[in-house]
Amino acid sequence: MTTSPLAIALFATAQALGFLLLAPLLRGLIKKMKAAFQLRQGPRLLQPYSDLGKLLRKEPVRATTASWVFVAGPRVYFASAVAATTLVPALLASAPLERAGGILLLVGLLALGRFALATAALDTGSPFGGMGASREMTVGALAEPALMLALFTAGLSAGTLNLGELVRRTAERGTSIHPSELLAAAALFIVLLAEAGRVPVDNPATHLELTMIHEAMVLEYSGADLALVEWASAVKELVFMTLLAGLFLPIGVATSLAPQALAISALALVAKIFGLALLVVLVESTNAKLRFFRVPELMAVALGLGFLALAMRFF
Amino acid sequence: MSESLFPLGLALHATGVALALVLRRHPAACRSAAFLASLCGSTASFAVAASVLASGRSIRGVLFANAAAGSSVGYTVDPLSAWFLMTLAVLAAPLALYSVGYLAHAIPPGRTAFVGMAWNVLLLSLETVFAADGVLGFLVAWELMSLATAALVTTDHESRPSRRSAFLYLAMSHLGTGCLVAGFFLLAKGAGSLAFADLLAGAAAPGALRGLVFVLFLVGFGVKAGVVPLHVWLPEAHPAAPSNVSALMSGGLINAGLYGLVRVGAGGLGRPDPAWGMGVLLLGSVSAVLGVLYALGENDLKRLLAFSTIENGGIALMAFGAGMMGLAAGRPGTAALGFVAGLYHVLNHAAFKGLLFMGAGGVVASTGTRKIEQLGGLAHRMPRTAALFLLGSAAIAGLPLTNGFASEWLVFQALLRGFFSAERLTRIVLPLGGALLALTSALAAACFVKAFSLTFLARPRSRAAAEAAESPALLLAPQAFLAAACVALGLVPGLVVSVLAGVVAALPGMGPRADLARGLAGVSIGVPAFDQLSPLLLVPAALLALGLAAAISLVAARDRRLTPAWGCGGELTAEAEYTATAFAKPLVMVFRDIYRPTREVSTVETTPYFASEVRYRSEIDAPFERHVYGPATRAVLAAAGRLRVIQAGSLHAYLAYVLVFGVVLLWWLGGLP
Repeated sequence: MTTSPLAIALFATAQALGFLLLAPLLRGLIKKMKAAFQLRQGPRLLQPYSDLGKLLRKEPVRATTASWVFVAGPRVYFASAVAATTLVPALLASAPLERAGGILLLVGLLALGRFALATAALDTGSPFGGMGASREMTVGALAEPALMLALFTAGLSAGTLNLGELVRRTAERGTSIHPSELLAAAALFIVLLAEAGRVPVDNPATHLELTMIHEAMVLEYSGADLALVEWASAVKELVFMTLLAGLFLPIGVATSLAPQALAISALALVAKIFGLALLVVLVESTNAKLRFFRVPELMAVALGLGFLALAMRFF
Repeated sequence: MSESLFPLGLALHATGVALALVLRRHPAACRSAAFLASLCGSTASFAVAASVLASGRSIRGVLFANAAAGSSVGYTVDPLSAWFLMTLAVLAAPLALYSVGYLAHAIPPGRTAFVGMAWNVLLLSLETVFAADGVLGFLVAWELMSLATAALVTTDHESRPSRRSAFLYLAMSHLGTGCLVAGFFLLAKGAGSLAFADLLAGAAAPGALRGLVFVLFLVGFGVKAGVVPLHVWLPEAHPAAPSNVSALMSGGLINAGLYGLVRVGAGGLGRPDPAWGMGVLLLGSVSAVLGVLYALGENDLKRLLAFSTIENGGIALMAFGAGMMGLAAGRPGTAALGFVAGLYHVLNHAAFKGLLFMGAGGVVASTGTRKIEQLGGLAHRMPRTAALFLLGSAAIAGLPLTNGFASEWLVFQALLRGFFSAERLTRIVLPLGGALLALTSALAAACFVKAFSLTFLARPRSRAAAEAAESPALLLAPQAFLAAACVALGLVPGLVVSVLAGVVAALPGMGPRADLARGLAGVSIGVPAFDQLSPLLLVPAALLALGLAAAISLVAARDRRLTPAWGCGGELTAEAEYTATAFAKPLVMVFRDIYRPTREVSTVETTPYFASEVRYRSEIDAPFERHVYGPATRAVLAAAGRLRVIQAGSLHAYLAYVLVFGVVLLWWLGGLP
């Protein structure tokens, strides 16, 4: 696509703002659908925006034992999530900063966010933060090989690890229903559940300290600090879903800036994200949270799926 | 002028030895003189390396010549030597400054001269190892290097563990040196020469013996590189030495092993067999994963860093293995990518491991303990050390915008590009290696969250930690230098890669210079682009996002409130904190088949209802020590016991042995019937 620095900057800003504005809506949508599934009315669709607004108005309470790391954690987490949005192709079959790096840089940025938040969580000296950080790093370490193997399968079959190029080539070739794609997509979906802190890996709705992972890690945060964490988590979830949709279902992705193509692409993306959200809701509503030491087995399943996908594609 | 610069560097180190000896009664002067000489020597060595890397032309010369015997020991600084010399200098120069400040408190004043001498001998021999142009000079320098290191490990020779570590190190070193001698003899026998130009130029290896020679070199160099299962000495010896020496061992000494492996692996013995590359890749993966797992289970800050050295050596080996597989398959582009990635990682490892060991040294000097469980809260008392250690942790965990990310990114590329060039069935190991590398780097992130957070954050868990004081500027400045190197090397991968492409192209059997760099800041793999990286492009985005976060929180909340953290209704004390053991526990449980943890819980009861005291002890199995080296040591001792029969202590018997041996020797040499 276009390569002038100004155009790239505009594109990146627009995409990042789009992700930031729409991510809370995804959270609301999932909550609403989950409530419908349980025959409840549930919170309003726009409730997450009100929640963010409320948190931003409250004063942050910080522990006396905490150092600057505690303050820096949510900010780095937020920045890494926002920077990650510029690396995934969303409406267009190209990512704003695709020349900065591809799949590996995206995974690295998410790892940076996790590192920052886990480090900060240990700063207050509260055992809950430590417990959450320890569990988050454990799940992250187990999810990473599965994530990489699934992404490698997609990258190696398209002959590129650059996300923009990858989506362009897949769109050109058309969606294939090669079984290896299905397996890789399934592996990535399991990793999505883990990274987004969803049932069966984690439960975003509980505040029972002993069972939670992500919520335990951010237990000491409040006010604007907490708002940044929540917002970034929502952005991260949307990034993951967009990635999954772009890699395995690139139907309707715009290859030009024509308004018509963009409109079709936007509709297609909304439909795909809606579908993925529905899938998440189905999994969350029909499964119980796994005991923490059963999570490695789930991750092993994802790793196995990734390996099978690779083996089927090339042998 | 640059022809005489390399011997000048060696001479400066020799001067350091002499000055340390002369000034041994005046510790302060001795310290300054010895390490200033070391700094100058490293600077000279850096200048030589930089000139070779910039021009691409090797520098040759003679170190000693014996006219009577007609033999001489020479040196050749070719681009590969220059790369390792530069890596060593980048680490050793700041370490020399650090040592001046650090040793003042870390060792008894009477031992200053000893450390100053051994330090300079170690650097002198390391530089000679990297530049030797023949077997003789190489082996003498190699042995000197091992002995100087062993001497430094026993700096604290009153402590039994130190002596044991040094002994273990010597035993393993000699196992390695023995293999090297055998390997070189096999090579030299075929070539009829002892010069590397004849031996390691890719032609000398005799067909049938090639495999044996390679395995001998793999073991010989593998011991120094800390390759699992030859690593057992490393986690003992590295932490036993003073921290400045630990840093030099982890960031510099293991490079001697990696240097040798590149010399023989990258076409030195001719085009490698595919199995060699596969073997190196496998050893590298095992070292990387086991190294980081043991690091994660470790609660001694310096031992943790030592285990992580095994991990990083493993990552470099994975890249070299992928490169060798590419070379074996006749794909010079893939081969070059593998070696570029591995050599990049070697430099990066020297930078961040040096930084982390210096930080750990500052903590040990200030608190007197290396046990993470007894630290905590140091970010308040030692804020600068904490910030620098955090940066080093991020780099070693391979997070974006640091050098660790850039080189691990290249290793991933080497593995994935190798996929296309390898044979059909064997190529599945390459993406699987990629998955293991992903596991390694995620575990390293967990490991260094633990190492940083539990050392520097929350409340101090001991009196020593509560009363710690910030390190002086002389200790902090060298750390800041290496921290800056970690950031800079991560932001200009294009520059590093274009230098390395020249280094790799100069190796025997390598194709033309690989075209990887896109300007100073960018790297691009494959045509059409398989993948590309230019971290500088992401910097404005990351800074803007960080600014947005700061702006949001500034606009949003006017006040901040400070309260004690919630303690479930009680007061939150340091005892309630999450400990290092607890932090690593989930991963220890997940990988329990590897760790085989043993735990004992005993309760001291006073009343039937409440335990007054619970004792908890848990330990991680050391499988190689217990199941490989234990039986081997016992077998050697048993054999030695049997040999005692002929060692009767009788002079007559010994004279008879000499006579018999002399006769047999004459018979064999003279070809008697």
